[in-house]
Amino acid sequence: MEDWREASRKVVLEVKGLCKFFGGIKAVNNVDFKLYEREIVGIVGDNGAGKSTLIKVLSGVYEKTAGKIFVHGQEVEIRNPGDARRLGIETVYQDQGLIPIFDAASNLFLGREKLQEGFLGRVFKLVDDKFMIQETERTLSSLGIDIKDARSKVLYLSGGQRQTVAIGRAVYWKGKILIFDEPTNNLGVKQERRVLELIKRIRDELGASIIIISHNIAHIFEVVDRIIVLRNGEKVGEKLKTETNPAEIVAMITGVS
Amino acid sequence: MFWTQGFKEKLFISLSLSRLFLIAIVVFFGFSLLTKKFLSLTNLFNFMHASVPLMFVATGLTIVVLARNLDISVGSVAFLAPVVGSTLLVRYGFPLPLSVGVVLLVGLLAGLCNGLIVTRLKVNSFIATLGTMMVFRGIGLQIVKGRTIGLPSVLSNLSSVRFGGFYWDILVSLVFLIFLHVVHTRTPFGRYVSAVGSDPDVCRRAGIDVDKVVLLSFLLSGLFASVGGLWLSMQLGSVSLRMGIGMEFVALASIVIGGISLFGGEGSLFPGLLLGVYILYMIESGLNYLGVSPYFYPFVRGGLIFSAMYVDSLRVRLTKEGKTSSVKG
Repeated sequence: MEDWREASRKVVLEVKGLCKFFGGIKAVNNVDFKLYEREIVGIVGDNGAGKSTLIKVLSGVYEKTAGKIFVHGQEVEIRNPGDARRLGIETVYQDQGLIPIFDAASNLFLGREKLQEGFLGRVFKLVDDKFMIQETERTLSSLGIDIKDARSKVLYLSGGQRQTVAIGRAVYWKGKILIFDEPTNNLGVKQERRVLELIKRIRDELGASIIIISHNIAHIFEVVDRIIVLRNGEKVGEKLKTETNPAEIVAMITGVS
Repeated sequence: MFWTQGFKEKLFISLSLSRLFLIAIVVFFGFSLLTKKFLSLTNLFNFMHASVPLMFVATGLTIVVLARNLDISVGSVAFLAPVVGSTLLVRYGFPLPLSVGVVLLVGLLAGLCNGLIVTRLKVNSFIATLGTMMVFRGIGLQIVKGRTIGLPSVLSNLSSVRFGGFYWDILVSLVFLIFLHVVHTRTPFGRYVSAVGSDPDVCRRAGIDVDKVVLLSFLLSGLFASVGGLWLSMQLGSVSLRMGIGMEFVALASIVIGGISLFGGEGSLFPGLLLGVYILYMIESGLNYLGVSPYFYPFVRGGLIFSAMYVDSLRVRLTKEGKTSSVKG
């Protein structure tokens, strides 16, 4: 897959010979791929093809068995979600990864709470709710979603609103590499549209590079530049969107040609 | 449209909280009508005073429950810690402040022990602390060898200092409760406790060290149990053999009555647990004034636990329904 990109665009993320085994099961086996600056890559495959495992390795949920990961040309070790975040890799999970009994602001800052500036705040490590709520409202409204009250529990938000909070978290922390795991699952048609638009906007306005995992070939074709196909843990194909069509991708996914 | 999500939520919260206040008020005035002696400041302060040791124990245990674990060894810790402290004080002539320090240290060590078994050995917390409950009591019984240890009168006097009819230790227990309430609601650690209780997987993916949060919750539970035990022995004037037996279940009962979910995450120390403890003691004090046999109390506690648990499971079911119905919205 050497193409025009190689010369003109920077590689943001590169994976070489990545493996993740669970006992004898080779969930991800010897996968190579590159992610370029301001690019949206779709990773597709059937259930059990290794898509989820692959991104869980990149986001630090699983530790890789073998292989190398490079971020901005530097070889990196990702041992836990904290490592991934420090490298600018933010993940939006399929089930959104939110605490239902917390409000949007507490979720946006989960694990990275802003502490109060004052003496008391620093000594007793008190969280700065006011700041977190303001930032959350600002971030969410910049994404074009109006959440009436950033203090309302996520539990009481609609699926689309929750997805926006999850995306807002990745955006707020200025992720340079954003990973979306089934971003349109469980959403209404209108909300699917909105989320897909949002993903394109994040690329255009923030200059982020994006990996999307999805079952939905139509959605993939709508937003991505390049498609990587996994089957039984191995990469079986890689195509620029302009070079291929849904039928060919489906054939690669199923292995029936 | 007034029937918005925010409105529904506010209504739900105010209903579940006001439900507690309502129960407290009904119980209070109910007993006041039934028996003339109940309605007096003296009686109010008396049952608040009596509840102080349990309040300490339940305050620490609440943190563990919020993080979706159980610690049923608290009653044994409330026995073991004063046993060690009082043995050093009375038998070996240790200075008083050092002995009190040892009591707290024993509580912390017991909590550490529980926390490590749960986080490192991955043993279910109920089973783990069922084991340590027996072990801790066994160690304590070995130390005292069947004897009751009397405490110096300085200590027993300290627990019953009064201003007017008001026992000062009521205030002490409230200060501890409010302190932990602020930790729970206003610090990252407190937030993580509820977050872990709500969804540990989400926490892990958010980079939160779940095991550390659980371990710390057990440390707090052990520490508060030792303070509760210390206070109980001060109120009794001695460390007796049966001290702390059944305390874990009374503490759990008040936690459940206080609206703290045994499914983790939801609930508050203030006003939740506070009301839970006082409702329980108010009922027992009322039954006492009515001349009901103390042997009947366990039935009442059992009934209370059952109804509170029912409300809790009802709430979990309601929230789940709310979750699925709002997905499309």
